[in-house]
Amino acid sequence: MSVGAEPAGRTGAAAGTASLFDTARTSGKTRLAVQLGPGTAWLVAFFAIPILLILVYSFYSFSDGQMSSVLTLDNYQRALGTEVYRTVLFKSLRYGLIVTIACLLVGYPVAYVLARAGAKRRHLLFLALIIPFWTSIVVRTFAWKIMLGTNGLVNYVLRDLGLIDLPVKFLYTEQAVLVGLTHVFLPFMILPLYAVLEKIDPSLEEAAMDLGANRLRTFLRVILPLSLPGLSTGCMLVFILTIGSYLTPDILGGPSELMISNVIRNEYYVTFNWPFGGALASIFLIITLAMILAYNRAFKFDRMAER
Amino acid sequence: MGDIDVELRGVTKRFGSVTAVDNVSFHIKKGEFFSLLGPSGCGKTTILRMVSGFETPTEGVIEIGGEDMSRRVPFKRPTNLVFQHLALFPHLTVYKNIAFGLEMKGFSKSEIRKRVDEMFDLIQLQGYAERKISQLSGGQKQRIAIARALVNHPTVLLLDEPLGALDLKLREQMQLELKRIQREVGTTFVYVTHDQKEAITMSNSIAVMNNGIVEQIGDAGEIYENPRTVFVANFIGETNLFDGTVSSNGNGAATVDCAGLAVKVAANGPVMDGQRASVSVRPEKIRIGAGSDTLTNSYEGVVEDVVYQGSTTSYRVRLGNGRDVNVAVQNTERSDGFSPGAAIKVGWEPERGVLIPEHAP
Ligand SMILES: Nc1ncnc2c1ncn2[C@@H]1O[C@H](COP(=O)(O)OP(=O)(O)OP(=O)(O)O)[C@@H](O)[C@H]1O
Ligand SMILES: [Mg+2]
Repeated sequence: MSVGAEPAGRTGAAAGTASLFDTARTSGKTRLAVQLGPGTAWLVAFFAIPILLILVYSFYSFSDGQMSSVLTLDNYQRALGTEVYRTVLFKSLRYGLIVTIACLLVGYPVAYVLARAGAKRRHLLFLALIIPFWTSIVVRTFAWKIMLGTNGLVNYVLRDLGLIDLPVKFLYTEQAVLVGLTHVFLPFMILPLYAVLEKIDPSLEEAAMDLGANRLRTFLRVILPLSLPGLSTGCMLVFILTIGSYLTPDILGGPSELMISNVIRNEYYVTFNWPFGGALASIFLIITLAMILAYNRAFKFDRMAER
Repeated sequence: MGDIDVELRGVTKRFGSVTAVDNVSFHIKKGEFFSLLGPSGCGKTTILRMVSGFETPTEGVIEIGGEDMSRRVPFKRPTNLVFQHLALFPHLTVYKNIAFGLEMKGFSKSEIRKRVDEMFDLIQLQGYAERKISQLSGGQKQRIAIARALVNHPTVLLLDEPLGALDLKLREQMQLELKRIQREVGTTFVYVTHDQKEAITMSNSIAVMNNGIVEQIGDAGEIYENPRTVFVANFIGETNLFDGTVSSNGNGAATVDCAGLAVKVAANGPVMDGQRASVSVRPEKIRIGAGSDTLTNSYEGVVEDVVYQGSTTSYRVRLGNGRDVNVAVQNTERSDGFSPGAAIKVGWEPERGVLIPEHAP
């Protein structure tokens, strides 16, 4: 069968690549094209073209359940002019902000402990951090449903402790969605923070203390500024992932917790109004890009790179 | 005792099963340049870290200016440490690095500027204020690290091999500079090094450490001329060690029988016949050739090896009992010397050697 033949085939391909590099050695441009080519092609085919299509469709008209190529700005007018959609958009951004701050507050201490732990303890902590990733996000989110339900673990414990008489409604609330999102995206904050904190020489902390800084000032004047690159990466990741999240509000939230992705999805798959869905998606994309640009400027990445 | 700045009494530090510092006691006078000298891993850094508060002694007391430090957190101690690997803040400018300690203590902006500028003069790095740390050479970084500590006017400045990473030339230049700074500001310096030459040229007082133990404390001359342990004799400079047993003693003199070689030596402390002991004789204190046959300790030998070293010539001579001795001769007049294979005599007077009884105090 082809199983035996496969390694040979691979070797052949590798040899082919090697000879390709040899001939390309004289020309840096050719070599660059060879290195970047496959990735670029992949991105163009599966990312740029679909996005372009969404953008094009967003100018199509839609009436009586039919999409037609008559170009119009109606979809944008409706998206920006209707209260409901503006509210959803702002809510998504607000959730993004809250979840980012929550992840930062919870994740920073964890990342710090991780970075300063001895090899053995670090291993265990990392395992604890990574193991949830072995199950799908759907399973993890459903676990929260079990935790937060009317007969769920949290209510059970609270009642057992005599803190409440009647079960509290956790599920299908904003808090449930925020807790779920924070949990899902926490690692995206912890990992970049850990990466920078781990590189900060502990003797810098000692040097600060030796010069009269207490723990808080050592943190504010030395650790925090040195961890900014990881902190900004983490915040950016969590924010972007949160505002685009679809699954968690779908499972843990009620109708009023719908986020922009849920609304877009409904346009595509429930009302089949692709043009309007496309307009919502495009507006969302532009806002996200604008925020990333503003954020990058605020953090002055170029200046930090100088360090 | 107003003139004592730092005192360690019975200080021990254990990390699990490792005893890094073992029952160490010493005191350092105000304004003294005190060196901790010893091979890698002997506990020098650990002592500095205990004095600055980053490690807690397992046993014993550390006093600074007569005050017990055991309950003082590092940021409230009157010491500053120049770290072995400098630990300069990479995100701050040179100016901000030096100003850090003063800012923490809440000095006014103008006072900070004045004192930091004084430091720039002292370390001769005017014009470097706005540089980033990564834009400095190794020697410049070390001077900044020293300035960052010194600007706080600590009672005691602790320096952990601050010149370790430098090449020889820069090292010697920085040694002179450090000595100059110390003279100018008069602060007590505790200086850690594993380089015996550096300790000898810079210190008023040296503590020689080995395996967490202080083997001997004294000024450079005393430690070189009168080593009290075999380790000290070996670690400071070069020496010839004759191990054997004391065969006779009395009237401030002793004879050590070293594999058939009777070595006479001055004895300052009490020794007993039959006790194991070593005699340390520095290579430059041994005479070779002319005049050596009339000396009290005089032996026949054959030149094995000659190394011409410019101002001195070093000979390896094999004695009758098969033992090698190293002899260093100043090339004061000419380098006529002896060739390998020459049969000659070597010798020295008993007071040129040092008797080191085993289990020395
Ligand atoms: N935190 C620690 N945990 C365990 N052992 C330690 C610790 N710090 C130091 N040691 C051990 O204590 C001993 C003394 O270490 P120390 O750093 O004081 O040596 P040193 O004299 O400064 O050496 P060097 O010249 O190489 O800097 C060493 O054996 C070292 O391994
Ligand atoms: Mg050390």
